[in-house]
Order: sequence, then structure tokens, then C-alpha cells
Amino acid sequence: MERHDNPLGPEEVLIRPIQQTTSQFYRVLAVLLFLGALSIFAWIQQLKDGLVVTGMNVPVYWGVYITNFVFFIGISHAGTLISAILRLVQAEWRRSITRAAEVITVLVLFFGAGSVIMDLGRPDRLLNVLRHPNFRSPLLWDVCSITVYLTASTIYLYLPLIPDIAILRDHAGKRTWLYRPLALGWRGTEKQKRLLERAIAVMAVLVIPIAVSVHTVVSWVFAMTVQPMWHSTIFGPYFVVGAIFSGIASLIIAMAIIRRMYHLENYLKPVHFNNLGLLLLVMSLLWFYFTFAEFLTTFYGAEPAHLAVFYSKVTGRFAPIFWTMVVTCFLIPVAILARGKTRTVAGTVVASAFVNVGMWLERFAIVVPTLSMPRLPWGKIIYHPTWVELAITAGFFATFILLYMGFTKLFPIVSIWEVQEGRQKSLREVEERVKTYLPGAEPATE
Amino acid sequence: MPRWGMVIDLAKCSGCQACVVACAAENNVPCAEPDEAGRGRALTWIKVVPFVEGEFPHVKVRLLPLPCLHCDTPPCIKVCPVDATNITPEGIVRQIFSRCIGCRYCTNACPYTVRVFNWRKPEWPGEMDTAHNPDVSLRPKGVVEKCTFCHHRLQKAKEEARAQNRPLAEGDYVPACVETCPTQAMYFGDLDDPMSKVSELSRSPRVFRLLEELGTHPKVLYLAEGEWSGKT
Amino acid sequence: MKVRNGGIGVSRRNFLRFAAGASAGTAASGLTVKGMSSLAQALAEEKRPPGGPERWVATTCQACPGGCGLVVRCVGKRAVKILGNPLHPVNRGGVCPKGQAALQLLYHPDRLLEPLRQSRLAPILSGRGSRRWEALSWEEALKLMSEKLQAIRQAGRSHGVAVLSGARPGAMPDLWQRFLAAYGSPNYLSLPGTTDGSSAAAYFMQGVHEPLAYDLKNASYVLSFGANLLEGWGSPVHLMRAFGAWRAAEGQRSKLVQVSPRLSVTAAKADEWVPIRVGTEAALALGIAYVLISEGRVDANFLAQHTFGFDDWTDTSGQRHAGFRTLVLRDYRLNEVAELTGVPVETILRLGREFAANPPALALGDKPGSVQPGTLYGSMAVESLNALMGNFEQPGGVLLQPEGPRTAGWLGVRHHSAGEQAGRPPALDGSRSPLAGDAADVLAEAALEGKPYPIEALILHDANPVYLAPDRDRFIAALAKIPFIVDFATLPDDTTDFADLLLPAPTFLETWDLSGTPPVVPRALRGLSQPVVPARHGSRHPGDVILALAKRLGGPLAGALPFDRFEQVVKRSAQDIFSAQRGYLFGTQLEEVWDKLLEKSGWWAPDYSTADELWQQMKEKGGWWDPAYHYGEWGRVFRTPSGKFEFFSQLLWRDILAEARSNAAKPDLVAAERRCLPHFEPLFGASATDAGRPDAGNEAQFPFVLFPYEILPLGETRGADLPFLQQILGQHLFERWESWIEIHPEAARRLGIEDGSWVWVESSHRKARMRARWFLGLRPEVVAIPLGLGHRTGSRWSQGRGTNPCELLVPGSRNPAEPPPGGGARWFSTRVRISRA
Repeated sequence: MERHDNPLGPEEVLIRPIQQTTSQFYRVLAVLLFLGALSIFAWIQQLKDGLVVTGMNVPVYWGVYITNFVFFIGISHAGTLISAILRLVQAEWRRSITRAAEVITVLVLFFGAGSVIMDLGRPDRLLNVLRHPNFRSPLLWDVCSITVYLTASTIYLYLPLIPDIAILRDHAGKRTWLYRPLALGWRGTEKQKRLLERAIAVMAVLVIPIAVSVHTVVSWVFAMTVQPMWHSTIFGPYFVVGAIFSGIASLIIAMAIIRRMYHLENYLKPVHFNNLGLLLLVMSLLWFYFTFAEFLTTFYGAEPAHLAVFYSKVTGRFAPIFWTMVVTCFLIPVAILARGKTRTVAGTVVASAFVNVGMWLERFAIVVPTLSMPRLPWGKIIYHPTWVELAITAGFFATFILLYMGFTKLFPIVSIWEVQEGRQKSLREVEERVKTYLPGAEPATE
Repeated sequence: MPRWGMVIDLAKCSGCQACVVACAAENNVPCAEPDEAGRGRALTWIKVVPFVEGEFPHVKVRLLPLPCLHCDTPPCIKVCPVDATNITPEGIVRQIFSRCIGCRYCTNACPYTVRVFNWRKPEWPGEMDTAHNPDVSLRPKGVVEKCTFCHHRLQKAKEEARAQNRPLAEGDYVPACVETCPTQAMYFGDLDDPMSKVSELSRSPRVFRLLEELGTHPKVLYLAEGEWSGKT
Repeated sequence: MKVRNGGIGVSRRNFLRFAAGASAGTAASGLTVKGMSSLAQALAEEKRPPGGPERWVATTCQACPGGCGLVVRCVGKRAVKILGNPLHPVNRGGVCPKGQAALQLLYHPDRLLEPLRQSRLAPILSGRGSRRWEALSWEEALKLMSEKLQAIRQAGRSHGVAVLSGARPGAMPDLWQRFLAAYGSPNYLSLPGTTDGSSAAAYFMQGVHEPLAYDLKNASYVLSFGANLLEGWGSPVHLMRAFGAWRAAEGQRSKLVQVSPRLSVTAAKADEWVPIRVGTEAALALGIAYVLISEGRVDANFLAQHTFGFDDWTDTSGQRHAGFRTLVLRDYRLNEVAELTGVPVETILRLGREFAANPPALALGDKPGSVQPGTLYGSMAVESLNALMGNFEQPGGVLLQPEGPRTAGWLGVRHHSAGEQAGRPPALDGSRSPLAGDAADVLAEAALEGKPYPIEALILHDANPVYLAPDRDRFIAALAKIPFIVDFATLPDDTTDFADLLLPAPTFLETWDLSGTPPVVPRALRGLSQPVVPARHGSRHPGDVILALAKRLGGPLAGALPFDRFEQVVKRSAQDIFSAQRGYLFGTQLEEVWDKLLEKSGWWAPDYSTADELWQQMKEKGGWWDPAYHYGEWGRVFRTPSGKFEFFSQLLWRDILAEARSNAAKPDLVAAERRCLPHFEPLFGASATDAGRPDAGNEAQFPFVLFPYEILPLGETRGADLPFLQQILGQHLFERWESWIEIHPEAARRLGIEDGSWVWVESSHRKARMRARWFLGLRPEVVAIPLGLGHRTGSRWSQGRGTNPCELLVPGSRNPAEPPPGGGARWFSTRVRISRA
């Protein structure tokens, strides 16, 4: 095996996690494995006894599981959407974060789909979806769009990963059996590079409408019924906005963690957090706008069935959840992110943590209150999630983090070749580009 | 092609809930354990819904029997991902228990909340399963169920009529709830047969449809209570 | 080109059309066949219970006294569904929830499986009630029973053996009484007790022992004083059919007015609810009488011809007595009545005028359901209203149940009054005298005090007196004094704990029986019960047991009961109907019309020509009845000393005279007037004798009046064992499986009690922790608890679940001014206080 003397240069630090594992890693791994095991145990109980072990009842037929489903699918918008959009607008600061974002997407989609499977009364009959599909059902649209999105995202993750795998094949010093076949014989030739650039560009364009469709379709699961405060035309865009919002927040948290753990301060700099923080701020304002519009319209329409749900959220049983959501999704993030002084790494991470909590509550506040206020008279309706639901939720988060950590152990979480490309070529390219914007500039002579 | 519908005369209904028990007995509906019932998981295919209004002493309690309304444009069948619920040509919204994956989308789509779900494996302690009706399949856990207008009785009535070489007559096919009603407040039949009782009643000025504004076109019609107009 | 085929021409065009159609059809059906086959496959995967040959058995329901006809569908050996018998005149195919739930009783997992006796260790450990049972065989059980009974008889104390039975009138009571008579005991006591306010009123005002009946469906106006017509009063399905007739779309609707302190289901479905203070129904009835009398809206003809005591009258000794009119006009002026009852004067006026303006108008009450008996004077006041309007013996009016064929003729059972049986010990219940007092009370008194004589043995059948006893502790103490207790029961209950010998009885779906006419049904009717399935587990019908005992005891007993099986008794009784030479089998309504016509013309053309045929046909059709009612048999309907309806009951006057004679004093005329005429008897402390009212004047400490009420699913308190019925308890509040106490929201808010929160309900006797529910349908000073839950012992679904309101009732001593039928008042004279728990 050839070994060049520090051929990666400063990027050596990016493959160090692949070569070494700290004891801290193992400690965290142990905790996550435990939570994962707990959730498996909980699921076995549920398979054995049925959904009676959850807190769901009549008429609150959906609860934590569907909330998780929407939440996880929402987070998936982070990666691919951010990475694709930033690539398309040629924002150079994207280079260190695209990989981290794309991995989130690919992994979290499994947990989104997994949440639905958790929620099914007969998971053993899942294949009926293929045998007897009903194409009028938004859930089936979901199945299709999530499948397509997963495929596209996987491709979109894999393509820019190829050059890095090649680097690992040549420099990692282990797991050549894995990297060699996955590298697909990448040699870094001009022809290969051009092919790759084109493929990535095509995927970047394709992935955006697919991603938008995914969460739109998820929202339509609710909006296509006639239930009060579900049947709303705003749901499609509202959910997409919310998804991007929570996605960016998750990305910021992921970035902060890997920055700390793998000493990536040089690659994930305050400017990255600042820029993402600004995006987060914009999404927060956008989210607030949609929420306000939705609630104001409902209030003015004053239809009794809708008002019942409205008041249950604003002043009634779900008021604590609703107002916590407003504080954590809007007030706190805007306060932190609107001022440059607080829009630091720590600041954005704090804001993102609040946003994630708030967005989970937002999903809950969409699913449960409508179901808790049926149109016809009902007795006492209370939904208390049980330990099974909470264990499975915790297990899902833990397993997601576990898989993410696993990825960082196998592949570089910051795209090495793109950073190198940036270092070598971008400055010049950007200068050329800016010249074309300014009046009286000469055409590029490259 | 008959279009099966029901008319419930609220003036005659006594709120006794015989329909609820008859349905459960006919359709092998399991009884939820008391604690489960307290947590809102009672399984009933038909239930009596109260509407309490007014101030003392002018209090009004209205009792409304609510089966599945077998809407002509049901919001529930659109959303089932596996086509486990659909509408037959004769208008019965049917449930295919062996296909249902238990996602409960249909239960959430129904604006009347008439669908129920088997949260656990139905159990009949001791020998209580001896009284099971052989015409109705037993549902496993994890599956949605609801009122079927006693569809199995339609099959049997059709077979009998065929065996006797005659068409289906009014009164041959009657769901268990209608059959047992002590005040005879429930009527059932072919809404499209102008000579049938339900068809005649469907044209009564007292008729109203629940949540009509949602456009579900329910085939269970109610006759409003009305009032006394004698001599004072 | 025409192709000829046996003379039928088929043109080529037609042939092609046909072929095209056929192929298209086949192709289309092929498509649908493909679609159908996947559906068929899906359906085939579903699990079905086992099938089998089908059989339909007609029988009579005994879940309550209503006596509806049932047809039970059986598949193979399994009974799978209960339907109504469309031929049965009482219910014509309708079945109430109790009947529908009966299969859960038949196949109940907690049924008693074999005879049990209290373990011999039990007295050492803690006495009876410790529930340590030992199984024994039927042989041993019969031996034990016969030995005990023989011993008692030989000691000359056979009158000390009492039977307390919940059985409906029919073959079983007749058999019990025959057995007891031959054995030497007059003590057949039936539950619910003999002290039914309605039957007491019928006895004292009309002089009859037969139950009153009503032509309900033809009434134009029904004024119900607390009678829960749609929740188990009389014959439930029969009432519901009448209600359906009142509300029939065609023709004029009949008005139902429900007078009660609580908005029951009946009140909710009624055209008007009159919220009245607890226990003041009599006052309202007499207030309405005031309106009728003072405005001259009475039926003067009827009053003149058929009533006694309306006007003032002079008796044989020259004593002048006030009549009903004087009493009403003097004591029941409207503003006083309004004050008493809480019903506004305008309402009383309007009700009275409506009652008069919409004939035939019926007043019903004050017996609320089937367990709570009502009061004598309340019922008398209500009957007076019917008399004022002359609504007797006509369509839509008060009738008298025809006696029907003497199916127990061979049993030779007669009522003996104490006087006739000189030298023999009197019956504990005065041979079912209406003044005898509650059967359980009478029994307890005899057991505890030994008056008139101690109880040697008690046999219980289909009865749970410990649950219903308002003074539970006293009753249990009484049971402890009885040396030998046998209980025939199907499921464990509060009373089975105290038996020495517990014998498993089958349900009504496993037995033969011939029931009499159900309550309030105005026809002679005999409903046949037959086994739908053979008796399950080790159960044996008490009838069979009695016959076996009789054989063992030998002598006159064996001779008096020369049958081997109860089925033979029933068959014989049924065949006796044949000798009545009238009536018809159950048939369709068309047949009913025809049969009535025949009967009115004096013809009789039944479907049977021998007793055997009658028996066979009865098994198929469900029973026999006499469809015509002969109106105007005044001699039958009024058998008082005057031969008329007596506002002033001379039978009660006789009792007063007899009392005065035995005290060697002059009869108190003022008291007499009160006791012989319908009047308002206050519940709480407003009368001169407060001694009998422990809660009198306790309003400050106990501000609420406790109102226990019966609901249809729990019926006579048995429903708690059946999940189907536990699931439908309180449909107005979404309550099921558990007890709740209803409280008016205003009162609740003042006490800081939220809807659904836990509270302490405390009377001066006991306290209980319950969940409080806000309910607008209550007078603010009333709190209400449903009757039927709170069994200390029972099946898995009834034991330890809920609260029994009987335990909160303050056991009052009897007010001597009020005869025992006022036992009904005892249900409503408890005050409670509510506090947050």
C-alpha cells in the first residue's frame, strides 16, 4: 500500500475519525445501544399485545408515532434540499456541510418510514400496500414519494461520495475491501470529473421538486380529510416550510457535534453557523407567518367545529404545548438569531435545539388536538403517551444518532475533495464570476 | 340495483340501546375490558350519542343512535392505502378485515367517528365465545372494524331468494339493530325503490342528515323529533 | 339467412348480437372474476366461528318480569342470537337490551358449576360469609336438604320454613306454594315485595288482587308520576311499543308528560318534563285533581255511577265522613301545592286542563320501576285522577288483568287469610296482604325477633335480598339467626355468601316454564319457556329439585307432587289451558284481528283440537292468549264493599275500626280520613310523627336529597354481571362500567366540585367515594345514583365495582301513621352531603 507523505495536507484531520476511535465514542455508543435495545423491547411488547400498550384511544387514533413520522420526514429536508439549493446557487460556503446534511436525509427517512410501521396495527401485512394499492390514498402517495426521495437522496449522497471513497481507498489504511468496490474505479481523470459534475448537477435539480413533494404529500395525509384544522389549503407549503426549518436546525446541531467531537473547527467555522443561522432566522419568520395566517383565518371563519379545535390549542387543554411551541419556534430563535452578536456557534446551536423541540411539539399540536375534538358529542378524551411510545421514540432518536455516528466512522463527514477543490479553484472562479456582475468588466479569459 | 339505506325516527326512539347490544351480539363484537373502556377504547359499531342543551328547568337531552352512515361519497374509503374499505355497487361501505393493515387513516377521516379499532386481541373469557355468530368473521388485533349494515344478512337473504326463485322482497334483509328495535323506530330498505318504506320516509319534511354540509351523502336518515300539538 | 331451430327463428343479426354480447359479458365477467377472486381470497382468509345445522327455538324471556317472546337462533349445539318472537303479542318481535344480552348469562364464565356447601371450617374461621366452599354431589345435597327439612317437620315447626323467590308468576311459584302447603308452611314470599304501591292501591280502591293493566297505545295523554316507562316499568318492550304508537307518524301524537325530580331517559323522550320535589308526586296529583274538580272537568256520570266516597257520606253508625272532593278542595289549593312540589301554579293548571281536554288520558305511577315499590297513597292519588276522568274499562284506560285459565287448578293452591286458618300459624306476609310489608323486612323481623315465630330454614330462589335491603346490616344479622339457608343461584352474588348450601340453577334459556301475564298487559296470556340448550354444567332447575325432595320426604308431599320432572308440571299446566276452551295461540297481527272478531261474536275457532296439539303448537309459536278484552265487567273490576271505585277506602276503614276495637277506643276520625283517602304524606319531618324520620330537619348538615333510580340495563340489579349491559349504562353522560353521582352544575360549582372529580357522599348512615358528574337534568337540591352496581360479591364483572346506593340509605323505623306500602318512601327519605375527596 502506498503512503504519500501527508498527501491530504490539512485534510488529514478529516479521515482521522475513520482511522481512530476514542473511548468517548464507545461510551456514547453504549448509551445509544441501550436506548435502541429498550425500544426493541418496547416494540416486542407492542407486537405481542397490540396497540393497546400505547396511550392511543378512540378518537385519538394517532399520537406520538405519527408525530414522529412527520417530524423525521421533516428533518429529511435539511440535507438534500440545503445541499442541492446551495450547490445550484453556487454558494461556496456549502462545501464543508453538504455531506453532513445529505447523511441526515438518507438516514432519517428510514426512521420516518419506520415510525409509520410502528403505528400500524398489522405490520405483518405491509406488503398489501404493494398488492392492493389504492392510488386515491394520500398515504400511498406518501409511500411512493418517500421511496423516490430515498432513492434520489441516496444517489445524491453517493455521487459526491465517490471521490472521497477513492481517497480512503488510497489513504485510509483499512477497510480497502469496502472502499475499493464502492469507489467504482475513480481515478480523478478529467473525463470522470466532468461526468460526475454533470450527474451531481442533474440530481441537484431533480432532488428539489422531489423533496418539496415529499413533505407536501405528508401534509396532504391530513389536509385531504375533512377534519377541522386539518383540511386547510395552506398545509402543503406550511409543512414544507416547517420541514426546512426543522431540517436546518437539526443540521446545525449535527454540525456542532461533529465539529466538537472530530475537531473540525477549521472546516465548520463560525461563518457557516452564521449563514445557516440566518437561513434559520428566515425560516422562523416564514414559519411564524404561515402559522399566524392559519390561525387568524380559522378564528375569523368562526366555524364551530374549527373553533373548538382552535380554542383547545390556544386556551384549552393543549395551550401549554401550543405556547411552548410559539416560544421555542419563534420568540427564542428570533431573539438569538436576529442579532449578529448572538448568532455564534453556541447561539445558533441553542436556537436550533429549541427549534427542534418546538417543531416536534408543533407536529403533536397538529395531530392530536383535531382528533381530540370530534364533531359529534363525545365523553372524556385524554391522550397520554405510554412508556412504549416514549421508549420507541427515544430508541429511534438513539438509533439515528448511532447510524450517523457509524457513517462518520466509515466515510468522511466533510467532503474532502470538495474542500480541496474549493481551496484550489474556487477563489479564482468566484473572482471571475463577480467580475461579470460588475459594469465594464472584461469577459473571463480562462 | 338496490341502494340500501336506513331511516331512524327520533320521535319513536326510546334511547334504550337495544340496537347497541343486538349489533354486538350479531357481529361478534368483543367487549372492551372495563379499564380499557374507561380509557376510551370501547368497541361499539352503533352507539347512542347524547346532545344535552338548555338550562334548568328547560333542559333537553336528545339521544341519537349512530351506526355507520354508509355515505354515498364516503371520506373514509378514499384514504385507505390498501383498499381494505370500499363501497359495493349496492351502497354498502364494506370492510375487508383480512386486508386491513391497521393504519387507522380511515378512522381519522370519518367525520362521524363511527369506526373502531381492535387495540388488542379480542378475547371472550371462559366459554363466552360459544355464542359467536358463524356468519361473521372474527377480527384479529390491529384491524379496523365498523358497522356493515349486517352485510352477511344480505348475502343470506339473496341466497334464500335465489333458492326460492324469487326476487328479494322488502323485509328479507334487515340488520340486527333494526330487527330488535322495541319501538320500531328504525326502518331499513332500498332507498331507490319508490314503494319501500325508507324511500317514502326519505321524502318526509322531518328528514335531516347529520353533518349534511360536509357532502358525505349519508344513507342513514333521521326524522326529527317533532312536537305535540294537542289541546290545552 | 334464417336458422330455424325447432320453430324458433334466430336471425343472423340477432345471433351475432347475442354472440357479441355473450363474449363481451364473458370477458367482462372474466375481469370481475379476477378482481373477485382476490376479494374472495381475502374473505377466505378470515376466521369464522364453526357452523352447523340451524334451529330456531321459541321461548319466553325472563331477564325481567316483562315476559317478552323470544326466538333463539341455534347453530349446531350453540345458541348464537336472540331475536324477538314476532307472534308474541307483548313485544311483537322487539327485544330490549337485557334480552339481547342474555346469551352472556348463558355462557357466563363465572357460573356456578356444582352444588356447594360452606366448608366445615368456615364457622371456626369467621362464620358464614367467609366464602369457603366445598363441592358436593347433587345426591349429597338432596340428602342434606331432605334431612334438614324432615327434622324441622318432625319437630312440628314446618311453618318456620320460608321460601324467598324472585320467580315470575307462573309454574314455579305455584309449585313452590304447593310444596310448602303440603309440607306445612304458608310462607312463600316473593321479591320484589308484596308491598307494591300500585297493587296496594288497586286492592284498597278497587278491592282486587289482580294487577291493574292499561290500554296504553290508545291513550291520548299520559301523565306519568315518576313511572320510568321507557326504562323497565311494567313490561318494558310492551311499553316501548306503546310509546312507538304514541309517536306514530300518522295521526295525532299522544302526549307524554313525565313528572320526576330527575331527567331520566323517559323524561328526556317525553313531550314535557315536570321537575318535581322528591316525594311530592301525591301532592301534585291532588293539585291536578283540584283543577279538574274545581273547573268541573270531571266525568260526573262515572263518578255518580261507579265511585264511592267522592262526595261526603254517612256510614251505618250515622258518622259523617268527608269525601274526596271536600279533601281536595280544602287541602290542595294550587299555591299550596306549588309551594310543596316546586311546580309553578300555571303548570299545574295547564296540566290539569290538558289532562281533561285530551281523552282518553291516563295517569300512571307512583311506582318508578320494578324494584322500587312506590307508595300506597301516592298510587292512590294517581288512580284517583283516572277515576275523576272516568277512564276505566274503555280503550286507552285503566283495565284489570283478566285471570285467564286456571293452569294450576290441579295444584289446588288457594289464598288463605289468617282468619280462615284458625289454629294454623299465620303466614309471615299475612298471606300476601297488601299491608304486610316488604318481604325481606318481614323475614328479617321474624328471624331477629322471633315474631310471630322464628325462621327454621330459608330457601332462596332467584333472589338477592342482601343487595337491595335498605338496612343491610340488619338483614345480614337476620340471616345469621337462620339455622339453614339454601340458595338456588346461577352466579355468585351478595346473598350467596350467606348460604349454607348453594345450588347451581340454570338460566331461563335452559329451562321449561309457563309464565303468566306480564305486568300492565291487559290480556290473559301464558308464555311458554323451553330449553334452548340443555342445562349447563351441574345446574338443575329448582322445580326438578323440589320434585326430587318431595319424593324423598315422602308421605303427603310425594302424593301432592306426583311428577318426576318440572317439564311435566309445565306440560300439564299448559294442557290445562285446553280445558278453558277459549283463547288462541300466538299469531300474527292479522290473525289477532280475526280472532278478536270471532270472540266478540261468540265464536271460538282455535288452531288446536286436543291438549297435546295445544302443547306442540305452543312450543312452536311461544304461547297462548285471549286476544279480546271484555270492557265494562264492573262486577269483576270493582270488588270493594260498595262494588264501586272507592275514593274513600272502606277496606282501610275496616282496619281502623278493627284497631280501635282491639284498643277498646273510639276510632280517630281525623286520622281515619287521612288513612282512607288519597293524600300527600311528606317524606321529611313535616308530619306530626317525626320519630320515624331520622333525617328530619337535617337540611343544614345534609343539604341534598339522595335519589336512587333504576336504569334499563341494570334492571333488577342483575345487569352488572353482563358486559353487554355494563357497556351501556349512562348514555346521556358517556358513563359505563362504574357508578357515578349526578349533581346539578350550580350546586357543584358552589362546592368547588369539577365534572368527573371524586367526591365523598355521606348520609347519616354511611359514606361512599364516587365520581361526580355534572348533569343539568336535576333539581338543584337533588343528587342521583343509579341502582344496580356496587355488588360486594358477584361475578368478575360485578364484584367490587361501583357503589350500591342502598347502602347509603338511612334505615328508618316505620312510621306507624303510614302503612308498610309506604316502604316506597324509604327509598327517597335519605339526605346526604357531598364534599371533595
